[in-house]
Amino acid sequence: MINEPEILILTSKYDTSCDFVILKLFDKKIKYLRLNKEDYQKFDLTLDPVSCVIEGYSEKLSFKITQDSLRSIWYRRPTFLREIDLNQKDVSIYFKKHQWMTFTRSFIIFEKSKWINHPLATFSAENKPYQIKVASELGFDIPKTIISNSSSSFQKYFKDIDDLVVKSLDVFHFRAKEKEYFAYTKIYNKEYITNSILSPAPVIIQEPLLNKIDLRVTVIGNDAFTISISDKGKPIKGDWRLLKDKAVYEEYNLPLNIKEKCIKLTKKLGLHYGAIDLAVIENTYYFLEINPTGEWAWIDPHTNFRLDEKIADLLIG
Amino acid sequence: MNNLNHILFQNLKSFNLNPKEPKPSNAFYDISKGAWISIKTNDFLAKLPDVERPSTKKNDVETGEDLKSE
Repeated sequence: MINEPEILILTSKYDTSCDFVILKLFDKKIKYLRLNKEDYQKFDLTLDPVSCVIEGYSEKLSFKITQDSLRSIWYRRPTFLREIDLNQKDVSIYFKKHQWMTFTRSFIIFEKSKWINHPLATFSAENKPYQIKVASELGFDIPKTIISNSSSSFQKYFKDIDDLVVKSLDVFHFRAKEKEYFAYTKIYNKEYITNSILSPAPVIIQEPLLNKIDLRVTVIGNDAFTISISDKGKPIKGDWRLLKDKAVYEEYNLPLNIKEKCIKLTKKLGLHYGAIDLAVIENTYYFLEINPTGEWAWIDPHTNFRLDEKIADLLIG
Repeated sequence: MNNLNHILFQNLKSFNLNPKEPKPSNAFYDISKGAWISIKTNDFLAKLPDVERPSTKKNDVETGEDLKSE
C-alpha cells in the first residue's frame, strides 16, 4: 500500500526516462507513486473531486492519494488526444483511450501540488506561434517566421531570401499500413515552395540559419544546462535529429544573459521544466523552440549534469 | 504517401511499425517500485551502465515510445 505519496508520476510504463529519476527517489527514500496509462484498468479506482482523494486497489499495489501529502506531480502525458493511428477502426479502443486520458487530466484537482509541468501550461507552451511571441518579447533573436497556407502570400516576408525552412505547425506523426511516418524540418528553394501546395493546411516558413551550431538547453527549475550538437564540430544543416548517433554532444558554456532568458521564458510559460532548442551563429543566439515535454535522459551520458538528480530534487522541492 | 499533395507529405520519413510492445529487453516491470527491473541483477534496470536511454520522440519510433502523440 502506498498511502499518501509525496510525489506522483503520471506516465507510461514504457517511459524509461522516468526510471532514472525514480531510482533517485527510491535511494532518497521518498514516498512516490508511479501510475502508468497501461495499468489503470488493473485497479479498482475511485476519485472524489470534493475531498480530492484518489484511491486504487489491485492485487499487487494499492494506493491513496490526498492533497495534504502530495508535494509534486510529474506529468508526462499528452494534454490532448492526437489520433495518430489511421489503422484504428475499433471504436472501443478510441473510447477507452479518450476517457482514460480525461481521467489523467482530472488529477488537476490537486491544485496545491507543484506540477512539472501543469497540462494547461503545457497546452499553451506547445503552441509554436505563442512560444515564439513570448520568446521575442523576452529579447530573444528569432529567425523571421511566418505561418501560412498560401504559396504566394508568404513571399513578401522573405524578399531577399532564396532558401527557406518549412516545418509542420504541430508534430506531424501518424501510423498507416504498418508503417510510421514523421515530417522533419527541411530547407527548400523559395520557387519550389511557391509551386507547391500549401492550401490544405498551414505550415511554418522560416528564414534558414546557415552554419549554425545547434544547442539544447534543458531548464530545470531555476537552472539551465546546455549542450552543443554538431557533426564532429561542424554545423549540421537541417534537423540534427536525423544524424542520431553520428552527432557529437558536448557541454556548452551559454552566456549568462542567454541562460537567464531561457529560465525566464520557461517561467513565463508557466513551466518548471523546458527543453529549448537554440542555434548560435557567430555569438548571436537564436530561439527556435521550446518543448515542455522534451526528452533529457539521452544527455546525461555525454555530460556531468546529472539531470536525473536535478529533476528528482525539483520534484522533492 | 502523398494523400493531399501537400508539401509536408513530400518529405515524410517512414519507419517500419514495431508490432511488439516496446518493453526493455531482459527486464520485468515492478508495479510497486514503479520501474523496470533487470532479470540478470534483480535490481533497477536504470543502474546498468549500458541501459538504453530515450532520445527525441522521433528517434524513439523504432521502440514505439512516442508519448507526445498518445
